Amino acid sequence: MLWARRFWLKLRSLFRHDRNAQRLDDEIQFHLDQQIAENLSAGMSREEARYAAMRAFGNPTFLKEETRDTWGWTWLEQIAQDLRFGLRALRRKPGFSILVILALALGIGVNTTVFTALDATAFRPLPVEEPDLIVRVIRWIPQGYGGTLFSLPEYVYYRDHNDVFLGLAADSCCYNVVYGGQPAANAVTMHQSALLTARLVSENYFEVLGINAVLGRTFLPEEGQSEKSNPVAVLSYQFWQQRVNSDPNILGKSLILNATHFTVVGIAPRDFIGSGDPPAVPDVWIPLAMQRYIVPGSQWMNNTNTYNVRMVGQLQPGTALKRAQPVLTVLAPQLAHTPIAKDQTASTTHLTVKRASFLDFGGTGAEFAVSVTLALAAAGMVLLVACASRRRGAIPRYVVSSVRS
Amino acid sequence: MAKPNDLVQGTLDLLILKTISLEPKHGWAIAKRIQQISGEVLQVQQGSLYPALHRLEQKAWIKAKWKETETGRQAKFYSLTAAGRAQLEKEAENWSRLSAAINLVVETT
Repeated sequence: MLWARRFWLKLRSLFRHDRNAQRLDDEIQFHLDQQIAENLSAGMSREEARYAAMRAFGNPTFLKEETRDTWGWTWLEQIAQDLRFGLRALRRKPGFSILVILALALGIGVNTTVFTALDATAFRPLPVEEPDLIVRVIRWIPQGYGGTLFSLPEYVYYRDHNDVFLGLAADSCCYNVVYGGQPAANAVTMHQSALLTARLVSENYFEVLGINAVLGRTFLPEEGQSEKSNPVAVLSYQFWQQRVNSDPNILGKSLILNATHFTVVGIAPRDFIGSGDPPAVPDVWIPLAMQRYIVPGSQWMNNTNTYNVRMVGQLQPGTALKRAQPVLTVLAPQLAHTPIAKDQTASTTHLTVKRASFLDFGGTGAEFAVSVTLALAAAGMVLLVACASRRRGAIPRYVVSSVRS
Repeated sequence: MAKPNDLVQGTLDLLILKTISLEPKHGWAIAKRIQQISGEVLQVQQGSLYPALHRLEQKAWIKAKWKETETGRQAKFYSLTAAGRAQLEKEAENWSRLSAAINLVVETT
């Protein structure tokens, strides 16, 4: 219980500080008086006795300060003293003060913003049902890191041949598509016609991530099967809310993208900002089967050497990352020896999985990582400058103390 | 002659604890007692007792009480707590070991 007693003593000394200081004065005065009395009885003159007592004692001011320090709240007093001094200095030089305050405010503000943004996106797991089970697949080649982009045939192979994933989905990056077309009775009407961003995803994408539509449905298995037959779209919540005024009757309406009619089948939840890398919520999600209409002029379906999709898998519950690894290590060389293997596919040594987050390095994620790093560095510099200007304004504490004492 | 600065901090603590182990004493009496017993060898700078006393008090090894002296003045009397008594035993033992060891070294070489 010694610590409790010590804490109590400290607490008491905080609230009785002035009284304790007074009592310390009394205590030391008593000491000096005792010594003076002894010196007097030893035959010294009054003056001599006082002087000798002081000499035997030492510097009272210094010793009192040292004694008060043992009470343990000196740091608090020093903060208070620094604050008082700071306020006086601020009053003396208002112009400089405003500059310093602005610099500090800017520094702190920028830092807070950057960290908040990062925390809300990059450092957070994907906004899905069970983020712990969602992993991204990474390719390794003899030279090392091979990125996270795969060809569509590769994706199909891994999807059909693994037994570690409950589901393996594919998503592409963001493509700009032109909205617009003939005004039709059942067409989606937007206030601004513009370029929209679309992401191509496998038909099981929402299912794998455990995302349900808040309105309508997500994609059906058959909508991933053949080209052209399934012109459907799932809208992001933000797009639905901001561009079409949360139109409650939007399901079944037609959205004309790149001159092709897409039927709106569902709205994604508000929190779902995609599995993007970098994080950016698209306006619409379109089944990969419709790739030719979203990215005209290229053909991914049977193309073994265009690498445009990332793979996101949902591990079987209870499957550790470690257990998924060997399976993928076996699958990659197997695929490398099939006829569809070319280029990257053929030279893939193995695959690894990592828990999916937004700060994935590789592909466009690398650019995102660079911009994040730059933003952090810039924010750091601003704070540094702010701190530096604060230092220039401060006079070292000991100067103040010596003036005071 | 040993000046106060030559006293290791722990040593001053030990001297204080020992000095008040028999009966409560005020600061001046503690200083006097240390000087007396040590045959004036240990000239503790009197004022340096007070930081030490207050530190020991904060550690709850000693407790203080304001009482009247025989001359009728109020003085702060320090006495050992139970924890302080245990600490005294520990430090005294440490000191014996240390001084014995130093003696040994000094006498053998």
